[in-house]
Amino acid sequence: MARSAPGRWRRLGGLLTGAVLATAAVAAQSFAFSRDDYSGPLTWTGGLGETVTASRISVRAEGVHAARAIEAGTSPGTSSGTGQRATTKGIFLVVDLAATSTRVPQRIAPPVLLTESGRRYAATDKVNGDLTITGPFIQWGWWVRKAAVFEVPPAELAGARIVVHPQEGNGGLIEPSAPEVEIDLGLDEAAAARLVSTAKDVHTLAGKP
Amino acid sequence: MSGERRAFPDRQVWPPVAREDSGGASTQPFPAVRSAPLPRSAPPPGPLEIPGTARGDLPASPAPAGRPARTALRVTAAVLALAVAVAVPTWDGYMTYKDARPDDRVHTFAAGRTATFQHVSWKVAVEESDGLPGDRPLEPDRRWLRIRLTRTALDPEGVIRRGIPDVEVRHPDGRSWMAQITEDDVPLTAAEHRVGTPYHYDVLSLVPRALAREVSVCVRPSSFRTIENESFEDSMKRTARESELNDNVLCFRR
Repeated sequence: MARSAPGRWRRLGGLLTGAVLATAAVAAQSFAFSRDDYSGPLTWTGGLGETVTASRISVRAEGVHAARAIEAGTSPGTSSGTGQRATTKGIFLVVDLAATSTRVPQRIAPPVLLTESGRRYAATDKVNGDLTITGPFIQWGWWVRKAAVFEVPPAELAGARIVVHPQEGNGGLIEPSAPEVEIDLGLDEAAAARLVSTAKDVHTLAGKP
Repeated sequence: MSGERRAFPDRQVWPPVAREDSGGASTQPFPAVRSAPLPRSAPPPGPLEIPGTARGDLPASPAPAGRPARTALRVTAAVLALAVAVAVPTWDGYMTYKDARPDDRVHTFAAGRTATFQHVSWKVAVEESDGLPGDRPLEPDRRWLRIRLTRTALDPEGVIRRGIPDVEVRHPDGRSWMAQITEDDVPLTAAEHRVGTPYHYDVLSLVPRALAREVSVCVRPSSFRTIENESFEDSMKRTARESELNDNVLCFRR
């Protein structure tokens, strides 16, 4: 009787430890990466005017404008002449970007505007993509300066960030941990309101149509 | 066969008849041990002596150090298991990546040399230029490379391998620049394509001025074989059978 009491306590302790370990193992699964986390991009962040160097590209946001209409060359689907004008019920946000590659030629995929509310806006297809940052090849040795154009409701501008990433390689695989650059455009409520109130009627994209 | 049936007398087989010479009537194969049972969980009398092991070789006496030694063993095993759990999926993922993108096999040649690869000989001539006719002037930090790529089929198989090559400009440290074929005089049909006759691709590339002398022109010959008058089914079967990788690159230094 005197010997069995500590043995029983020890067994109870062992069972408790096992139960705690099992619970911890189950709870740890809630911290496990989801499929999206595994295949998601690696993000380099920065502010307006800063050069952000990701693994494959360097990007700098040099300026932010707003406009009611965009004048550009012909968009690929249309056969009309130059000077085509794109209009919106919201507002056009034009981000002047400079980009260069760190090693091999890259092309920039259509950028994304990430808003404070968590929504994602793709670059507009109302302007010819060749005139925006998605057009030219980005190569080592010089900076390519082109704009990214988004069509957004004016209320979404405050706190917006731009996400720029290179196009995927043609390896046939979906690449995990692809690089992307996220730049905070530095638009607080006041700056966003000022941007909307001083929006130009027409912004013309430079470059050959 | 035998003409007469033999008769045997009856004999008792079960239960077995007790025999005088055996120890008993038991059918057990082993005799039970008839002695007092050993004490069940007697504490070990002392450190185990393994025959053939000199005790002086062991650094510590095992009895008090047994628990820490086992803890150390468990920690080591846990660390090793973690390392393997991380390393195996990583290695597997890397192998999948490498299977999809095999490393290039780069063959390097001196400037002006002729490279012979897969029944075709290749030659590269590079000319630097500050501007192109009819184009706006170039920024001062860049330079055009006008590349003239010459291909000569050495035999009929070389004519079959007349796919458009990929051209790229590379620096030895791994940086590279686009090169685009602007014009070519390679005949489309095998009938016009003559063995031994040089045909050309005109290629244009924009590179940083400072590196214009250091870069090399890299040509990736196409492994595509164009056989004329071959039915579609035959060509599909042949392509599946050949499965030649496009991983050979001929680099011509400047």
